[in-house]
Amino acid sequence: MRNRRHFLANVFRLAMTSGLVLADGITRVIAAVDPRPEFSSTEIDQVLSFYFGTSDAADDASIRIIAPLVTEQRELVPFKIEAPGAEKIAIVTDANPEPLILAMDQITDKTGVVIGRARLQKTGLLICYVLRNNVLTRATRKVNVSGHWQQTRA
Amino acid sequence: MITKSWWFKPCRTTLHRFQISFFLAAAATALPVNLLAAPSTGEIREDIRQFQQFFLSRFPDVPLEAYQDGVNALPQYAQRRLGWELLLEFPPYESEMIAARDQWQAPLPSGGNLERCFVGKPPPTAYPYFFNGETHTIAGDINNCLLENGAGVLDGMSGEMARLVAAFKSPWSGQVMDIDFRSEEIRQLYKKGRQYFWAKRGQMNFSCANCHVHNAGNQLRGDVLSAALGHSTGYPAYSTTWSLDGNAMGTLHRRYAQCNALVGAAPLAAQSEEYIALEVYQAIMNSGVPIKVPSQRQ
Amino acid sequence: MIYSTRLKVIETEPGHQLMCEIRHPMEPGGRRDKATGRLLPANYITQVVFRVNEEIRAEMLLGKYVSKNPVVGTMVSKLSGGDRIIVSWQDIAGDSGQASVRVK
Ligand code: HEC
Repeated sequence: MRNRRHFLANVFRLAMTSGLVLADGITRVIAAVDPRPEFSSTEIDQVLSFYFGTSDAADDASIRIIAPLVTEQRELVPFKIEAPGAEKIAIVTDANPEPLILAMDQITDKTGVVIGRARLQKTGLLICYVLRNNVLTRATRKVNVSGHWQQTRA
Repeated sequence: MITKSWWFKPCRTTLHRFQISFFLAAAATALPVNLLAAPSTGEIREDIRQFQQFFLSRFPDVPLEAYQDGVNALPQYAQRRLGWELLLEFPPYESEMIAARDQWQAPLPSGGNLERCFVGKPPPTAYPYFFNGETHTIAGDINNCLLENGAGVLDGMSGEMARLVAAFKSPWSGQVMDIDFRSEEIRQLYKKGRQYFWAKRGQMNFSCANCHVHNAGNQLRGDVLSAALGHSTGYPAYSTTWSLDGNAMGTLHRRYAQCNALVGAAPLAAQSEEYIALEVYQAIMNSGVPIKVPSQRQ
Repeated sequence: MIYSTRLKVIETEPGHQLMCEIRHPMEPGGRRDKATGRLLPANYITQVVFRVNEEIRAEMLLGKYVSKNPVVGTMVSKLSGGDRIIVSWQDIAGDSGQASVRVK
């Protein structure tokens, strides 16, 4: 798993550096696709299958998502997850074309905290998937992206 | 729920006395300036009292000192405030401030530096002030210092100026605004700033007060409008929107220009007489509000 | 490119919170330079690793929807004086960086 990812990352790096000398249009094609399948998937279920090996998840009230309910700024939405005992965590959204924002693994501590700052292209759900003892569960929080006056003015 | 209305809800305040007095003030100052004396210190003190009382009654749960946080202080912003609090766990402005403090002490061509220029000057909470025939702003004094020490002046809209003003102000965070308005010159600027604040302008024909007094706490498209009380106490600020273009820190005058543009009015230059007058007026209205610099804004 | 990395270790409950900021553009690809109109190639951080005394305590995988100048963090069980925290990262352009803090 790790090796595959590193191999893909290297391919990506190579593609990016060679892409720089190609025409703009081609660069865009290359730039748009992340070679890590969990990051390039456009469906949440696919993301989960790639990252966790399963996509079946039940709601879990023990996962806490701390994030603003409303934000003007779609480029910077801070969040904090508390999922005690988590072994692997993925934070996804339905607000972006590719759902996966950030994932955490190789977790050795039981605190299960993830802190990050996300881009959300529109109002949508922040969904946190947590793997513990081979069981996948999730929690959801809606974030309204209101946009600034300057941005919403046509 | 978010209502996407871009027009305002009507103002529900009952403080007519406040509005009438300002209406009269605005009408009076529309006359040629030299025909009228500057407002007396007593009148200014009464303005401060009414201005602050207006907001304290409109937002009974927001104490005076909380207005330093701008729109984050208002109950109507409660659903968004958490985002601001999370950002402050690792404030985006910290790296800017590291650079700012270095620059504050960096040697200028003459060998002096900005920190030394400001020794003996009043604290930032007393700016703008009148001395030796001149009205001093922090940005103005920084440029004077740069000139005297053989360096070039900075544009008051620039991120560099914002960082330097913040370097001067930030050690004083927590101290309250306290402007000396006894001099005739400051009171003349006060009058001019007060008029600017209450006069309508731009394609949309809005005054600053329309948004930041009558509609403080109301929603304007995606934004919630801050109260004018506290304006300037958080500036220079780090704005996420500004950071997207790589020029994250901005001065108060940059924010003024942005607000002018919002209503389709031509933005003025930083350190223009109008903006300095506006700064004087807002600084005086904030008497007793503690500063918090830098601050984080959307 | 050198992108600055800063690491903070904050004592809270139930453990120590580790937070790091990387001054990185996190360019998602497909956007244009406002001044020149040229397409900006994607360049974002893909991985951030937190270590305590050389031992990996958490690995984060990032994509293009993580904000510019990202701040990411986690929490580890209580640390003791002398522990050395290291955060390291790499992006798709081949750049990398790290920062470390020793617990007092
Ligand atoms: C169309 C409504 C509108 C008008 C008119 C307007 N502003 Fe604003 N102003 C905004 C919005 C929106 C913001 C950003 C949200 C906020 O903090 O209020 C803002 C923010 C500000 C801030 C920053 C507050 C802070 O703490 O971050 C200041 C200062 C300010 N305005 C001053 C003025 C002044 C002075 C005028 C008159 C020249 C003015 N505004 C006119 C809408 C307006």
